[in-house]
Amino acid sequence: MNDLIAVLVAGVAQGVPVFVVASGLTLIYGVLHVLNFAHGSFFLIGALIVTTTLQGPSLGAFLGSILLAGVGVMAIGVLSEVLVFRPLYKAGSTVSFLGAFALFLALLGLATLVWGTNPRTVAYPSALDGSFSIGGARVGQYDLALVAVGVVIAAGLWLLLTKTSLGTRVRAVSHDRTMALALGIRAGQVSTIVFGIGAFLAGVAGALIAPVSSIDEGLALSSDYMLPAFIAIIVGGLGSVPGALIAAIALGILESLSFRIAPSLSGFSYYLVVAAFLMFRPQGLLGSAARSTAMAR
Amino acid sequence: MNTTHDTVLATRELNAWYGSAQALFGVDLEVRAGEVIGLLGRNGAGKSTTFNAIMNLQVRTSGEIELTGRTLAKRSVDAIARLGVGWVPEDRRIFTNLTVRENLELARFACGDRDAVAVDDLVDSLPLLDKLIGRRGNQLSGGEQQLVAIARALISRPRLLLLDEPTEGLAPLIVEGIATAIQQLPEMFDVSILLAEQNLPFVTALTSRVYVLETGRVVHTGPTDVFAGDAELQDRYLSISIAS
Repeated sequence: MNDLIAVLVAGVAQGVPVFVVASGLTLIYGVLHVLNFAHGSFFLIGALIVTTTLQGPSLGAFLGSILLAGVGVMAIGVLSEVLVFRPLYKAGSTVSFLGAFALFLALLGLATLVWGTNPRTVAYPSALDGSFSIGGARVGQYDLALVAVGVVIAAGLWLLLTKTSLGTRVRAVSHDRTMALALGIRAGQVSTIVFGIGAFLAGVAGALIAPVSSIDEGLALSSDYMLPAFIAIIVGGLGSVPGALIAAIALGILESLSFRIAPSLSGFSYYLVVAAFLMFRPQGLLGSAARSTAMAR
Repeated sequence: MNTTHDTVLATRELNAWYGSAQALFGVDLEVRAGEVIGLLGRNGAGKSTTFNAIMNLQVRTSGEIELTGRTLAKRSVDAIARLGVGWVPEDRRIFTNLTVRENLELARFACGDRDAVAVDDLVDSLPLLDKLIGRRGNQLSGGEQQLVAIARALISRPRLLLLDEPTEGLAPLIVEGIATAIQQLPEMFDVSILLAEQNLPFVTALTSRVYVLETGRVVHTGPTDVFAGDAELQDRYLSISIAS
């Protein structure tokens, strides 16, 4: 029982950064129909910004750095949408994907130029550098904080998508861009805002994993975060934020369980799941058989 | 362009192409304030293409298109909508992932709350909406979707409403209800209507003048009752069953 609690908390904590990245990816896909490969470099830059801006071990300083990482990466994301993606939309999704890959490489090169290639580390905030006992199981404070952050971000996204005028516009553009335009909705503006939100989330996710991971360019395609994020949006259903949440958390728990029960499967469990989905339910958990999206369903 | 002071829509020498295939040839139309005008023609005659050309959707155009004296050509789709053209497409295109209220509020967000009709006022004007307001788009029947699509287009107080085959696929009783609703719109919302249809009795009941299209050209224009009373004209340009 003790083990199970520890495994569950560790799994959810592992899934939260994956969800935060995946939610941005899936939002962008839902509205722009672009699989943004450059998201990996947004994630890396978010983590690198923390290594530069973090001043001291206090929780306040860490939260400030997270915010700076999110805002900084959001600015890069908005510029990317305007300068790189907007001219490519009419060329189709393949060209946009290639554009995303080129942007990924360019931002990776830029990050190397600014921060170098040596791995960097960040200490846990002092207030979260310890562990709790829950039902006899030792659970890291930082893991619990990640779970709380995941709840806050999921709730925030749900409120944004279902309770605001922006959310209604986002869901409309995602469902039928032409009809939204014909009602006078500025779909281009909606796309830029969504891209900015997606980039913000990638920056925040990068910042969140800074204390638990070595930060180097490998993070941009890491098998711990980025690849699972891509897998989560496939398993959850492309364009579905709730789907990304369920898939990311389930994959985190699965990985945590397999590490404990069958360590030889650890690292492969994601791929087994995505292979099964691609074979038997290619639209994912909450995606529809047609390409229509289900952002806040 | 020669237009009168109460001209809402005027097209002159309007041509349209899908890729390299020309679909409209020199179409001249005029819709004046408060009018409901019919646009008749067989399938493929160019009715929907005329609407696409006015909305700058999917087609390349040449010629002039003016809304209350302002040119629409080369403007973006959303700018045309904000200038005052409401479009109700043949397949309605309700956002099935949104509730009816959200479908209606969308158009308010586009034109700004100050200028828009309040959703509750719209429901008062079109009481049939009342029982639909909380439902999702995918829970509506064809007739209900049509009503919501028309209401959605009216929210932003358009000067011109483009109605593309609103009776398509609907039961006769529903068509009657839609006709009653359309009849009230010009006075209630100060809107002019261009109605593309194949259902002649429906057009006869609602419109004062008709334009008849054939292979992308206007081949007849005149008072609706004259066209409705001329079986030879109908045979020549519609060749559809008049009874429906």
